[in-house]
Amino acid sequence: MTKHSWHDIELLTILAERPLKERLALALEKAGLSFSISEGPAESFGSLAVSDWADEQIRIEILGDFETVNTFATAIADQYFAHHHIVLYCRTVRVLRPEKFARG
Amino acid sequence: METQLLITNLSSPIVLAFALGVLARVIRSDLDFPPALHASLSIFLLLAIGLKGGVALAAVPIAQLLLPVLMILLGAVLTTASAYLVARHFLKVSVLDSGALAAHYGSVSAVTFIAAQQFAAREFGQVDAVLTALLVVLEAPALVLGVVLALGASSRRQIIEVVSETARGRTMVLLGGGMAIGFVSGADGMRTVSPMFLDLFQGVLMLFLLELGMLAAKHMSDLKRLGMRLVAYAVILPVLHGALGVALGVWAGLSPGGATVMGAMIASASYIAAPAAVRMALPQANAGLCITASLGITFPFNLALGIPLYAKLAAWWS
Repeated sequence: MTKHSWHDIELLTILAERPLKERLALALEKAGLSFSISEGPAESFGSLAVSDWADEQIRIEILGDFETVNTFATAIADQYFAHHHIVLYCRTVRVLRPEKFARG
Repeated sequence: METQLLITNLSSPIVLAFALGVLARVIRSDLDFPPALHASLSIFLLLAIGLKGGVALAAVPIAQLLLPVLMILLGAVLTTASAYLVARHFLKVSVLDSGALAAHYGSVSAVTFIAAQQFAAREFGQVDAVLTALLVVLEAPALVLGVVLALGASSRRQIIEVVSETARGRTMVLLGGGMAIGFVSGADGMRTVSPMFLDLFQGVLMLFLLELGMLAAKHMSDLKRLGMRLVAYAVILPVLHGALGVALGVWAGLSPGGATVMGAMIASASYIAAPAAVRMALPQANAGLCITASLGITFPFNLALGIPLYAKLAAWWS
């Protein structure tokens, strides 16, 4: 049996209003990051609703090294924090096969 | 007669389902729709209405479309302008918020269209085949005009954004795409899919309205915060717009049923396409104000009282 080891990696989560979905997906694709997007009512993502009016919001999860994730998060914050409902948070998680999440 | 029309409408399954949805929210029922179901139901309804519209349109000479399309465009311009002016001078909201509200009220709600079509078919028999095409035409112009009113002439980038957002949006893809499929495959082709898209239509619509009632009730709870002026705006404006829409429908040569639907279309406010497009083009505008007015007030008003009123006007003026 092959021995696998755990590696630290950053998990960036973005909660945002639904109309930003296509734009954020495009930005992620351009940045060559692997990500997953889900969408649903605000309640489906726990108690954190990004706005008090939007019926739907999206949740994006991105895995990458700190520098990559930080560069992307900063760019998103610069572009959308002023007028859009968007929340970003990051935590360190452990993964097997870290090369799978390297920038494509 | 008026009372009878109202009772017929209020006792229809779709209006009652909507009321049940509102009630479920008010009593804090644990009734909940899975997130994907709302999207699935709206995909079904938009595609079905597009298919039906496309098949019906195949039998209509193109020349017959011209006048109704011109009238609906005129309606879009007039209602966007009036929604903007009333928002500025009666609600006294900013230029940006007025433009955003105008975009919502000049555009159209597909579900109001469907409900009006059902009502008109019940009351007047067949309705005009051109109506679905008018629904497609009515969606975008008001969104562009609303952005221009909000930002002035220097809004080229935002206009492109709105047009692109609307053209790629699910409403346009499903309605326009469904119409194209229905138009090309014709009545014979439709027979193969009618057990799904025609026979199940009423039941799916009822489910959708139940869920929409819950969603609308959520926004109704914001009314206390936003004030009675917004309620007056979201009720009086559709009545005026509806009367204009009926008149335009009659001038366009539509049947009383068709004029009823045109009145409801012009009276309605968008709550799917407009919020998405306006959020992208006018992110500084108050989105909560727009969605509460359109979904929390105008949609239930049109569904319960507006549509029978427009039917009455259509019967008088035809």
